[in-house]
Amino acid sequence: MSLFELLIIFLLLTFAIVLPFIYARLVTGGRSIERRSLPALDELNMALARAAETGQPIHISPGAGPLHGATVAPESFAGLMLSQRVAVAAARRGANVSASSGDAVAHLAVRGTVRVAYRNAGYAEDYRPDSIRLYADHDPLAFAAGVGARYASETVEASVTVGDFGDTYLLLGEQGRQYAIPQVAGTTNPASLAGAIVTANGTLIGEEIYAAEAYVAPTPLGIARLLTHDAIRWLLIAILIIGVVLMSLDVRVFEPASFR
Amino acid sequence: MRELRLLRDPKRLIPILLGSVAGILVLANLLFPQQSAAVQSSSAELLRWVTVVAAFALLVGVTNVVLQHLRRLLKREGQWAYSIPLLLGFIIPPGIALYGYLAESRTNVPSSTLFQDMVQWVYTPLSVSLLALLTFFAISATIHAIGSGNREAIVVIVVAVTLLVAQLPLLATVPYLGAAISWIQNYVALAGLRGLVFGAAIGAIVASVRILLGLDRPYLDR
Repeated sequence: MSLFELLIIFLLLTFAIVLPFIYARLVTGGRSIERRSLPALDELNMALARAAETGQPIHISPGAGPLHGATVAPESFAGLMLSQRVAVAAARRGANVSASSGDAVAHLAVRGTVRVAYRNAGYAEDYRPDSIRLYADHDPLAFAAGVGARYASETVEASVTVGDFGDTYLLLGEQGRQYAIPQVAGTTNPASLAGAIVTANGTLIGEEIYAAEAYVAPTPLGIARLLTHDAIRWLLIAILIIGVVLMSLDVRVFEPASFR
Repeated sequence: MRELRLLRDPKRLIPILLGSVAGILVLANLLFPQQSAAVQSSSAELLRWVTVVAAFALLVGVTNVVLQHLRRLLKREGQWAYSIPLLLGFIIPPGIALYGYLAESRTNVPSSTLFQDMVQWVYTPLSVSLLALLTFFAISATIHAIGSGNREAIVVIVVAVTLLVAQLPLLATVPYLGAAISWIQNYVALAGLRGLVFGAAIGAIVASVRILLGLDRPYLDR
């Protein structure tokens, strides 16, 4: 590993660990923070308010990305964290939650998350384990078919599908649209994104799926994490520019080993 | 900070510590391979433990699912008919494995003739039919998006249709068209794609650090 790669890893990890705490202190100290707007989440907030009145559940799903096995989809973590925030917000407002997952580990995590959300909100008796379903494991096609069938058989107030859905997002997204379910979709996969933009009412694109949880539950540490994303983005831009300039000047001291 | 106060509870702290230490060890081995024999062997050992734990968890899970669906079938509870294909799904693969072992002396299930026939004649046609549905879903979604006037969706549709039409064999002879499309794909589309990947990677790094430090515990059921 070259000096350049070590430096990048060190800087990234340092920023990712230290900055959230510094920003959180600034936020709790009263500094006003400008957040970029995420219109997709307005749809979600309206659905949460409606769900408390209608009694129809908010459907959440962290997708079909693997959380165990040879590869792990980080989008599924983003989906899980957003599911956690949505479950907490829904439980506090007295709204119901249903969930679908396409990975056995994600299923257990969602089930625990929803159960804890209901318990902490003081509505432990409202938690229904049968509303948290595992439709497939490592098979996005079967998962999409399962969620599509769920849209057809159950009435939901809105659906939040954030995570990894493979190339088959359209199977569930279009089914949801046909049943007039307001949908908020988010993914980093370009193939899924096209389907999400065409069928969903709100779309979270790329890193927005990691930022969304700070909008649903705007705690100081959540907002700090959002600011950390931005800071690391600037750091990466700076590294890219420095790298381009150095390579253009034929200065190869920091050249990554894989470039040779 | 509520997130940090929660760590004072031993019931939370011990699993978080276990998860964090295991995660950091495996990450260190990935970032600095072959730098430390101790880290490498601990990481490999942890991954072996994961396999063993996952195998036992799978066994418990499968037993639970089979018992639940047997009960539903016997009591004729709601939608009991769906339990039949599910239970068949649990019976057929081990049956094929047993048949492959007894009739063909094969210990590797996917190499058994019967298994390959099942994949070729049952699983593949079903998957292909579902994928074929995507075409109709895409057309239906396109028509609706145009009708509803969703601007973002219309941009996606226009770009998709333009690129599809431009790649028709009839248009291959139009001068500069192929080169223009290649340029758009190699520079404009690829730049956008890399921006998307960088952004997602930043989000993944920050999320991973939070989980490794125990500030977020989406895996903890308590």
